[in-house]
Amino acid sequence: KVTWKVQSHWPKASGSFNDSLGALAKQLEERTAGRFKLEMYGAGEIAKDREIYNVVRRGVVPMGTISPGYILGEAQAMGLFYGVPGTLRESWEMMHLTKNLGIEKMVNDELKPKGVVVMGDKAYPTELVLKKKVTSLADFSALKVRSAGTMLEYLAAAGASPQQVAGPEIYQAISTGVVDGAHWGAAIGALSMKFWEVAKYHMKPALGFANDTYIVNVAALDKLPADLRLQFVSLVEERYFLRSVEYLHQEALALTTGKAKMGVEVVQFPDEVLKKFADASQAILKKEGAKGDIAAKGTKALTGLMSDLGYV
Amino acid sequence: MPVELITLLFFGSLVLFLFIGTPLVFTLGGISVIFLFFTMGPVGFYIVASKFWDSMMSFTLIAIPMYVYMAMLLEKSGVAQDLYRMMHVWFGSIRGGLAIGTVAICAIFAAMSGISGAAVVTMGTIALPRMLERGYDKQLAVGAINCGGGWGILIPPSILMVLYALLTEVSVGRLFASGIGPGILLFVLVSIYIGVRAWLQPSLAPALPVEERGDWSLKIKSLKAVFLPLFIVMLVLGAIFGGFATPTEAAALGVFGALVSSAVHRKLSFAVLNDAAMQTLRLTALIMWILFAAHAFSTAYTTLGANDLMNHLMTLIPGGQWGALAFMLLVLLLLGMVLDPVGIMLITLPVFLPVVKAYGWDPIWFGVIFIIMMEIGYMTPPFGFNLFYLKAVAPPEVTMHDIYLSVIPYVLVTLVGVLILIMLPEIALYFPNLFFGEAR
Amino acid sequence: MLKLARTITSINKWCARIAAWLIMPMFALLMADVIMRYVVGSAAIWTAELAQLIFGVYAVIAGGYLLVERAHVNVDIIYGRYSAVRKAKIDLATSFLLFLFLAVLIWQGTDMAWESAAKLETSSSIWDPQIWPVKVAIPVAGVLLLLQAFVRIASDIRTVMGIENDPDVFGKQANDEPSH
Ligand code: NA
Ligand code: NA
Repeated sequence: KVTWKVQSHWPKASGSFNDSLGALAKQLEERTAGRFKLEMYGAGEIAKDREIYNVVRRGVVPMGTISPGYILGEAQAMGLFYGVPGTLRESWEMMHLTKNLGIEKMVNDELKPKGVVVMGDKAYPTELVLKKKVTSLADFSALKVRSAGTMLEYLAAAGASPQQVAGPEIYQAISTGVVDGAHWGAAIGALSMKFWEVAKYHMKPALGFANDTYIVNVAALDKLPADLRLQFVSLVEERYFLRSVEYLHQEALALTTGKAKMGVEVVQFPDEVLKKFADASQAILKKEGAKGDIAAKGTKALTGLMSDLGYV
Repeated sequence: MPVELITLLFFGSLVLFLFIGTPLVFTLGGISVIFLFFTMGPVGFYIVASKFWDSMMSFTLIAIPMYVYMAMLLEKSGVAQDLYRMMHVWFGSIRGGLAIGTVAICAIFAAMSGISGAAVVTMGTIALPRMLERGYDKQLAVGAINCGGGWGILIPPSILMVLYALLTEVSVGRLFASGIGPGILLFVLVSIYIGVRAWLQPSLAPALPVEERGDWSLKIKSLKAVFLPLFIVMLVLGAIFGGFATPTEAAALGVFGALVSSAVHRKLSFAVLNDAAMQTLRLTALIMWILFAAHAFSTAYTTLGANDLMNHLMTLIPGGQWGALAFMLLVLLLLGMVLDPVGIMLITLPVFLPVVKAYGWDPIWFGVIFIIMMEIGYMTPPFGFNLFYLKAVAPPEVTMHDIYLSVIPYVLVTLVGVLILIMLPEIALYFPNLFFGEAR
Repeated sequence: MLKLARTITSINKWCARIAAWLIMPMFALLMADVIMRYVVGSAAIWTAELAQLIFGVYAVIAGGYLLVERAHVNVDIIYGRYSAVRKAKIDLATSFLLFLFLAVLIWQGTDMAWESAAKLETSSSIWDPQIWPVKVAIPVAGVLLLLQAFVRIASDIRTVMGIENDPDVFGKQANDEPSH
């Protein structure tokens, strides 16, 4: 019998804690007839944010969930695994890039010697929520938007003024006008963080697609009995696709709730803004590719996909 | 070993070493290390360093040195003394007037900051000496600051409310708004308590002798002491509610205001800046080391099986909604004596919420009650952040014994407030309904 | 021996004197954040993060100085009534908690900082500064506190033996009155 402590980066009440990690734990227990259990910890109970990477790598806990955005420096292709803003337009493209075009494997080739591997949990969109309606490039350029990580760079390159505001202060910052908007995932994030109460305009298309991921200690994985390891690995692999599409369904439900009950209006970015986005993403992509040989290989896979899709 | 027994050993050793007189940091840190070793082995030790790093990188904590520095400057430049002289001239004829004025300032301060530590240290620095030198009873004065200083997490903005909202998926805006009514309620209750107590026992909070009260011209003249503090309050609140700054950034504006005030008082010198900076470092370091160790401590308890204990406790919950509510309040009161509020939240909320939903209670209303229970936790012995922060700033004649005893009446008064809230939920729900419409 | 104790005590005092002034850059950076957002239109990407990094060092580095000043808060309800000698005996008896805590903190903090420095760890933000120096502050602060703890042990032993201790050498001393 095996029990693993799992440190999640989601709060215990959040949708993904239950629908991603909770569902995985339940199915794992069923399939192994109770021989393999996951003991789940909510965000911050043992560690949070990028410290989750460190506690898993050191074997304090054998497993965690994490956003690749916390650990961009740990592998050349981590930026691609996290998702480059403005490159892909649909969730399946991200799933395809991650699993079939080898990005996850490229990341793991570098992570494995450090003692961990990542296994994708889901691909999900990132969308902007604003309190002002944007109808022109001038409107967009006047925006102060709360952002973080690569997305911050992207929004700046497209002409907006991205701001850094600590997580607990975002809601207040939007409501008082310190910033004009923010992104936290897409519709589900906006609903759970209550952004729509203070910012009614939900912007489409998505700024980009990102992966959430499981992270597992290699030694702990190797120590599992062969049959349990096989059950675990194949279940996580299968869940990536199931969960990613289920998530899109939940996104749609969240947005419908917002429109029906909170007066949310879906607004398309004007063409001139989209053009700025396209330029910005090319610049970021170039920078990603310059991180090294593996990153160049990954970037080539991404641009190849984009050209097959007719995006470039 | 059953989790109940571990829990007993864990908190038992905390209380034992605390009462022997071992400094809090070493008690929390040492016990964490011992228990981490027994549950996870040496690999668990990393948690200690990890928790240090987490707290060092917590942006909202920067408000602590900012507000402490502000308080030190106001104290050393004489601005705080002038303010209290003014309050004494105006309200000196009322027994307990100075203490009531102090809790009023606490309430204003609570609207300026989202954490509780800053207010306690600030008011302990500028208000406590003023009350003691005017013959106020130690326990009455200390308790007032202990209690009022904790309102920072109840009156918006509040970091703890954001955490509650995140864990329960309720609206931050509604929860913020729902803290206003109870904040006023507690202010009124505490003021009534001080007023009645001072009226019954004049020696505890003496009125100014008639011959010292001064005439109207003195009263008017003393009013100019209000301008500088008022300027700082307007600056900070204006920046927060005018959308110029987040509450943490606004704390820097408090320092700016204090620098300007010191300059106006012609007290802005290298010596003042340096003295204030030394004391600020000392208090911030003291608060942060307690926080580091406290976070390691609650994480150690989590890995010991706090969740199992909670699940076991839930099976003990008596039937009926009042029984369940009373039971949960009791658990919060007991945990509040020995654990830090963030730890309590992470441990209890996931198991309490299903109960809240099952009985159809408004999670906003429960949230306000929960936050007030956390505020009580900040001030209940033996382990309470407000107690230790006050000990750190209070004059030497105030012992821990005084501080522990001082909170008893204020905890009772706050519990009366909780009872009123349970009977009249409208007090909490009036403002959110006013601002956001009736709950769906 | 006395010379060593005096050196350690004064190192901790000087660390605090210097660190105390870090309040100024933190204040200035936060102000710059607010002002630039409204005057120039957008805040610089590095101000808030730099303030955070400075705060990290500021928060942790004065642990040893607190021990010099006997400023780590304790509960003095029983302790306060004891004589200085008895206080010293109790401190000696419970010092294992302090040493366990510091041993683990320094060991794990060094491990964490070493790993971070070895890969020149950066913050992954858009400014992406090196953060390993702030991680190094953890074991450094731990060692400063540990050294001062050794000084405190020596002073406690001397107190039990009935020898007077000079505060400039051994830090602030307990007295027979209820302590603060
Ligand atoms: Na507040
Ligand atoms: Na308490």
